[in-house]
Amino acid sequence: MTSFDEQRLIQLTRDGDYDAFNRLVIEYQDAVFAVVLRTVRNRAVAEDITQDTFISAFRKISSYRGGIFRAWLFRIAKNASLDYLRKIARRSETSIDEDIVYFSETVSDDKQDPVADALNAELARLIEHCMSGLSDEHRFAMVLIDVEGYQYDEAAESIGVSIGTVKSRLNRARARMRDCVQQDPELLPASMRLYNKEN
Amino acid sequence: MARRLLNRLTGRTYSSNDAVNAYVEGTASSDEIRLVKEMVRKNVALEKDLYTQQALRAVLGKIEKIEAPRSFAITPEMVAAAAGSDSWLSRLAEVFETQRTLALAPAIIAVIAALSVALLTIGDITGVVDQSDSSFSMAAIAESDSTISGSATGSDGPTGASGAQGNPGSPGSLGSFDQSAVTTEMAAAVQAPTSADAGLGLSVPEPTGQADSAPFERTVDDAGGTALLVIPEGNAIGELSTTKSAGPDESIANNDLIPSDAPTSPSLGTEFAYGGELVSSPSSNKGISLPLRQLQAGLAALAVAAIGAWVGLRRARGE
Repeated sequence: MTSFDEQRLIQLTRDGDYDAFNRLVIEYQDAVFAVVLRTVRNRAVAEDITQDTFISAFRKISSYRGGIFRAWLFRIAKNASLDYLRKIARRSETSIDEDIVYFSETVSDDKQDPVADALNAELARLIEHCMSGLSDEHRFAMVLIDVEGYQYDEAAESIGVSIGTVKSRLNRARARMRDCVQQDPELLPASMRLYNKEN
Repeated sequence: MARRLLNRLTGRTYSSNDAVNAYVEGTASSDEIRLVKEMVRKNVALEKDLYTQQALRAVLGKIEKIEAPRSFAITPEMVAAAAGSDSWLSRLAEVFETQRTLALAPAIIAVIAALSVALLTIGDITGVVDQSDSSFSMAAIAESDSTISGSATGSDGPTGASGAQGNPGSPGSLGSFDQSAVTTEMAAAVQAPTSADAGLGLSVPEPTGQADSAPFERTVDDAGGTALLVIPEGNAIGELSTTKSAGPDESIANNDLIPSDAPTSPSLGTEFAYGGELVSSPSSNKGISLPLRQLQAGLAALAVAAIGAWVGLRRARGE
């Protein structure tokens, strides 16, 4: 979809065109759902929040004043996700799926290794555990940039802070993740372990 | 901390943060690489950290992309249902949606209220503002409904002899107080230099109005209380005091209820105002007398409510 198309669809949405908005939904639903799921770590809740995000976006489309539309959607999704997390924190509830993090390819150096899958699962669990230890804001920055691969400007717009703040948060998040994963060095990929051995 | 603040004020970013991030991401410029290498030279442990972070980032990058499990396309019914379940705060936020600057109103109110509380506190500490008697309240006013209040004449402004005719239905009168009767009696009392009734009377230097020697005593409380106007003989100005729970509170209320533009001619209203002062205020006020505690509490509550409204509106708007 070209930028022009997106703007045209947004304009049609302002006029109350559901079909136009639903084309935007189809374009961005994977991205929004992924970010929400990695933030709240519960599939059922993530589906609800994603749906609410798009409903809310349709209703608030008049408040969209340019910029990256996906980042605007992320911002709505982020607020809804953090609201949910604050709510369950107040109730001291824990409702987290354990299979959010998994890898598209093995992180082991030896793809023929029969224990690679088991290690992958363990590493995924470790990553999930370490990410859950981050603050919500730090995790959100890390998910957007390191996991989903978005640019700093888009992440900054999504979070509603400056690029410098995003970089600072990301820096701290990476440092904490580094400290956390090194508690179980045997689960780390060979490259990281080799480095540890050498030093 | 100071450096951080200074950097923020001058718009400078953390060059070391930027350089480290860029190095970990593999997008560092030659200057950034040089800076990182210099940092590594000073801190050998940093090299290991950077390497670990690079590996970690590689691992995170391999996390599988997630796809939406279903379509999240919306329908008019969904939107209508969402609109129906909106909180009042969300609806209020929608009102401010088009006029975003109006949404700052609660914040401005909060600031003004907080500043007022601070000023009142400072005024209280420095003695510029004094706490007035706590009985100045609506309850006190209601209580004084049954008393002869100076405002009964002062509010509608009959002066001198004209007050003798009464002025029923004055907007400034108090509650069920039978003002016309009292003003008539007052006028009568004004015209009667002395009263033979139980030693109660009024002495006024220049009595005006149509004379009537009615005693200056009246029951005004339907509940059975009796209020008396006691103006001692020989007091040229006159002094007002009330009985029935007559205490300083009511006198202060009388005093405060008399408007500043009360009649200045030798009239009943003036005398009441003066009489009120004579018996008023158990505390001698040097500064401005205000219901300080009530004002502070009220303004503080207003500030808290305004902050809550501002935060609520921001959240409802998704900011």
